[in-house]
Amino acid sequence: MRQVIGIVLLLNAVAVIGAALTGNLPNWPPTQADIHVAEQAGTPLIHLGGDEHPSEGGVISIWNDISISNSIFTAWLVMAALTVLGFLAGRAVSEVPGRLQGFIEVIVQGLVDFMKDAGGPQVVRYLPLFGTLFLFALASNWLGITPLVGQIELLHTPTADYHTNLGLALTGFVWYQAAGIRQNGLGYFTRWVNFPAFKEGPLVGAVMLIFVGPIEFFSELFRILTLTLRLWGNIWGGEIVLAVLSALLFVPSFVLPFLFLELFIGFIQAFVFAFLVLLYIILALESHGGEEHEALPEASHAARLEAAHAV
Amino acid sequence: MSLAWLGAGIAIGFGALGAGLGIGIAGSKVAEATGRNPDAANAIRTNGIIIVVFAESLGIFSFVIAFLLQGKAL
Repeated sequence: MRQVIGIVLLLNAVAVIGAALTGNLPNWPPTQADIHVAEQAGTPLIHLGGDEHPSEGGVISIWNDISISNSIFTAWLVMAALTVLGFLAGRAVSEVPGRLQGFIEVIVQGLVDFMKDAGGPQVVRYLPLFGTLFLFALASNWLGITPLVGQIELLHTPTADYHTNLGLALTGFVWYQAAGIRQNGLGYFTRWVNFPAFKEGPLVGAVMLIFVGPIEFFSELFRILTLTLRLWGNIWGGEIVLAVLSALLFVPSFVLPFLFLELFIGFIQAFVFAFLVLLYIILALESHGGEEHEALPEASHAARLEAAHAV
Repeated sequence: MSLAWLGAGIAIGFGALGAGLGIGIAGSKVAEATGRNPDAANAIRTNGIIIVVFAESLGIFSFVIAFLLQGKAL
């Protein structure tokens, strides 16, 4: 451990002295031009249709642009990598797993165990959604801290572009609404229009209809918004932090602790994104329609679900 | 126009303050609960992450608003 730190510090010294001798020292304090912050969203690579430039609107400009951006390209790379990995692992499934198969099995088993913990055995059928969201977000987030991604024109971290995140969030949204409707039928809509509450009395029914229903409805919209912005803000903000600090700290490897922080944050955010979608699925499955199975086996589980109602 | 920059600074500052306070309180309670009942550490950790995330998303909102204001000042 001590030797590794020594070697890293030595390499730093060599880099700084070499830069000083050849006259390539970076500016300090850095100016705006020295800090290479990644774009907030991908830039178009191939233009397919729509406007070439964003409309001059208010603060938020709506850009009617259909094009293949660099973040879409990078997302394709991530998808290709995950697909090839899955294909290689699933090509020859054997009783005694090889190294790759064993690795994939550990991941999938971990995800399944987690899902069973969170929502019981009936949510394991949503493993494809949960696992895909988690693995895609994780691979993208970790791609964000690899060199060159976000620095050259061709590559841009997919999750540091809010369009990608909005797509992921909308996928989860459609999926959990479909799950709720499938499980509870028409009773699912009592989340927003709670007519059965009139059985408790006219006042309760009116309050549920006028106040609780709209709040529930807007919380659905805010779920999409928070899912999108949380992932984007964390990953893109992390890229900014890395860019600013590496310009500010002068010595190259001093930024390593922040790199590990970003590694950790990338994992946590991918996990949180997938887990929130799973939680919304669980909430949709156990919606107000299913009042007959009040006595759930997991008593502590109910407290967790209550917390999720906060947003 | 430079007032927008001031507004951006205030937005991210107070937003981060609130989110930080919330996460701090939640984190201290999580640590307390884990100390009181170490067997339930896994469940407490998962719940803690979920609750902390909701506080964090408010901080992210203020980041977005600060960013929009900064874009307005340019």
